[in-house]
Amino acid sequence: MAEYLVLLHEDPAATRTLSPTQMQALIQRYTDWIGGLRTGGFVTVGKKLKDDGGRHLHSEKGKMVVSDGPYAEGKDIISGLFVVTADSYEQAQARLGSGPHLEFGWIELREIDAAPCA
Amino acid sequence: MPPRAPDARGLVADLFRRESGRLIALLANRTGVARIDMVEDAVQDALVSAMRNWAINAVPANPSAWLYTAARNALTDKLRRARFEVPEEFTQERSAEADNSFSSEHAFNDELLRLIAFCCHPSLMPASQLALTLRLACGLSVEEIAHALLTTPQSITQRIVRAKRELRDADVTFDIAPRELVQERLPRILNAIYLLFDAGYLSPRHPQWFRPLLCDDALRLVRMLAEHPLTAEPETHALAALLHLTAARSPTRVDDEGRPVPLAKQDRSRWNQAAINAGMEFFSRSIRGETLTRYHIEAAIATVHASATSMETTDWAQIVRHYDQLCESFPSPVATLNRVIALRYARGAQEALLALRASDELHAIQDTMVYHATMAELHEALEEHDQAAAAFGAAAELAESDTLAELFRRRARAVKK
Repeated sequence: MAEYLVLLHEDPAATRTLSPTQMQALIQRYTDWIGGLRTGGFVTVGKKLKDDGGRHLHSEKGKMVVSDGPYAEGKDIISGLFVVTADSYEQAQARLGSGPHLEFGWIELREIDAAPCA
Repeated sequence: MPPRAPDARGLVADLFRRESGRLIALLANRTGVARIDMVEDAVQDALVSAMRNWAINAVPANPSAWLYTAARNALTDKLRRARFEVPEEFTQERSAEADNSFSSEHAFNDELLRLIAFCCHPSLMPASQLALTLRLACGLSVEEIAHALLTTPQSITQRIVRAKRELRDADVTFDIAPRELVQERLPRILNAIYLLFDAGYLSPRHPQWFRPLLCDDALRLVRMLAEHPLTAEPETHALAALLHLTAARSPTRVDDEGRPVPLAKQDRSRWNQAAINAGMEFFSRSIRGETLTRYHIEAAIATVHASATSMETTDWAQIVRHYDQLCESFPSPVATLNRVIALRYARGAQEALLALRASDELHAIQDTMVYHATMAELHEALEEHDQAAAAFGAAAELAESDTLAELFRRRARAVKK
């Protein structure tokens, strides 16, 4: 059994034009999807990231430089993250199944490397 | 009317749409007309944020409070970035989330009323008033409005942008003197609500011929107006009566296959008695003064139907008298057509058909589905099968809803046998 990091990527513009009614309906679909994952016992971490762009830390001439991350103007931002358990990428993909997210963005799936060096 | 039950996740149906209107009203009133686009954006941001957040973190105990805080914060942010003034109360208010008693249900009726009055400013065309009201106060998207008003989203967007610009250029504010509100603005607001209900109740040219959510909105708005001291006028009560009595028939209007059920076939025991009672109460309030509007007459007709247990025991003669008055004081093709229908039940199909043919008023709607459907029914009642079939066929051609078209084609086939 391995753990996989699931990053929900999206383009903020994709959801901004939805009507209030459509947005409320989407909550239902997301809740059903995530609820299904949780009920299956696959989710060990499930977090939504704040819609504020966060901060970017860089080094400039040896000093830390902090800048605001883009949000509304960004094209590809991470809105949430999960850690799910599965035996393989294929199984993780199958478990992530058919939620609504791919209609508005994409999912980055990365296996977490827990194996100690031999 | 009982409130809608929340769904399994605790979210009342239509919450987002209703909150959209209330929040825009509240925030726009606090920041002024010039910031209305910014307010709309902030409210949209809040809804998007809620959509993302509640799906992963669960719906909060007080969704309204959460949305208010999010919208207020988003707006404060935008105002600051543009270096505009931020209302003091925005920064001084403690988080509304912490206040479990926060409820926007009744809190913002004043603001909502002022917003609707703003949208129904006399310098705008009725079509623009309606589009602006539906967008800002009813939380419908541009696409949804275009669908309701049978036009394109581009046309609605243009209408709304132009309307906002005109109001800004004319320095219109949300402040409105009570006298002006009642005398000048109220008739237009009521007209917008009437049109909203009409669009939801029966749209012969819409793919979905009955949209209860639009009717619900109209009911909610008219109730708010009827209860607000500034707008609790006889005219308002008359419209409230009409809409409640009409909406009372909703449970029986649609059969299992989504087809309309005519009045003659509706199971009256399933009419919404609470709505009828509310309608009757509003009606008795509406006739206390001397005002007589078209809503009064239409409501009076609705009371006759609501009190009757069947078509046979309905006082059709009285209904015809009401239509006589309506056609004289507030003439319209639809009123004339409805009178023809009542005439058929009061005095027979022959006389009704004569009236249908003789009326000049009806020329304007000769190419509509309802006109041909009415003619078809009269011919059918008179056993004039060929004419009835032809008229049902014409009605089918003119219907833009598949359901209605199919209905009329079936009746055309049935009458030919």
